[in-house]
Amino acid sequence: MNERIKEVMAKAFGVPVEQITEKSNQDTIDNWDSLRHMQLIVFLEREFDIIIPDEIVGNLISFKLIEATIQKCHGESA
Amino acid sequence: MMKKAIIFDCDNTLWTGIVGEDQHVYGLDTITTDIPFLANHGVIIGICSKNNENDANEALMAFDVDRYISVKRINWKDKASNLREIAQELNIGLDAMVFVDDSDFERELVTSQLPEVMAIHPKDLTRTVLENFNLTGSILKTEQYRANYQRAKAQEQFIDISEYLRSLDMVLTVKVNDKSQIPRIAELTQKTNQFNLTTQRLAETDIKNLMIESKIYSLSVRDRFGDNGLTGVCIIVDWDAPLYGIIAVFLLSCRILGRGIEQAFMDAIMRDLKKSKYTHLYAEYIPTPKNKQVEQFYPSLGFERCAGDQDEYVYCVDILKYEYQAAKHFSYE
Repeated sequence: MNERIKEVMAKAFGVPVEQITEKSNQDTIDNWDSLRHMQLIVFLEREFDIIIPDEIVGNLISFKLIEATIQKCHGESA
Repeated sequence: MMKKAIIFDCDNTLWTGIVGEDQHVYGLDTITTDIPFLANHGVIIGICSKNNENDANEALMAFDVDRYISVKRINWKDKASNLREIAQELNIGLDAMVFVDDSDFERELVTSQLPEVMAIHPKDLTRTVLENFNLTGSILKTEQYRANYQRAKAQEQFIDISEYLRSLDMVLTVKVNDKSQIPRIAELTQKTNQFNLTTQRLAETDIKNLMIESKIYSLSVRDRFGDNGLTGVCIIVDWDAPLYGIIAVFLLSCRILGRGIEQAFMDAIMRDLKKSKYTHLYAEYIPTPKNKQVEQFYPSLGFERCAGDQDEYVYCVDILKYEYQAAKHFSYE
């Protein structure tokens, strides 16, 4: 799953996938502005077939938080 | 209720190992990645840990996270009292705080005393942040709290933890001169720095020889969370006259401190000594940079200071007059 997250992040922020690590976050990726953030949310929902609740959309600002979101969404739908 | 602050324990939560005991500690993700990130996104960061203050502060400096931390309580008091003080100092509600600690014991203590505080294991940190915080893009909020950081000690809080301790079902096992324990006893004398009255380092051969003529007491502790193993050692040898004994070694591993176990261990030893040849028991505290927390240990048990230079701390107690100290929340084997 980690590799898929990295690919989605790379696509959303327009950076090479090698630049994304499990420690990446809003502070380490220059392109991470609010427009690209919404793009990230849309890509994540499509790629992982989830619906990210509005109240946590603003919190998805690191690799780890994205990973936790996908686990949470999958856990709750299962 | 959205949370505002995360208060971290140190040993085995921020790094692996125990500062002050282990030669090196290794930073975990919590300290290398999470704290700087969270502080930059509006989460107030605090520290609440049982360590020597200097040791923990040195480590926090070494990991370069000091500037992200708004409040600290590094001492040997129970963590529920410390968290109350932290809430007052930050001027936020207890229900706005998350407490992160790897120890089941500490989390349960906090939950039992302060149910409003969310106490979590470090592995659940990311999920907790996701669901309970509004992360921001600004570092402003942390700066504000830091500006208000009041170093003045908040009023001491008294919390009765004896009920909680009773609920732990602690069982102490005290053994005398058990040869099978020689390696572990030697290891504890080598490694223990903080709760160690004399800091005598002994090899396995020393222990073996001492068992011939002296008394080596070992303490093992288990409670409903599990078995802590052999975590305390006391060695009593003849001193001057044969009717006088002296405590050559008294130490406890720091992971069992704060539950009255040190007094209970002494009680068990005294119970045994009342049957021995000794009439009086002497004891010495030898100060080191690491063991300041035990400075008052013997006086607190009713030992009286006797002859000695200003920087020598020799104490004595009449064994028959020793008053048992420990609360009733222990059973012995």
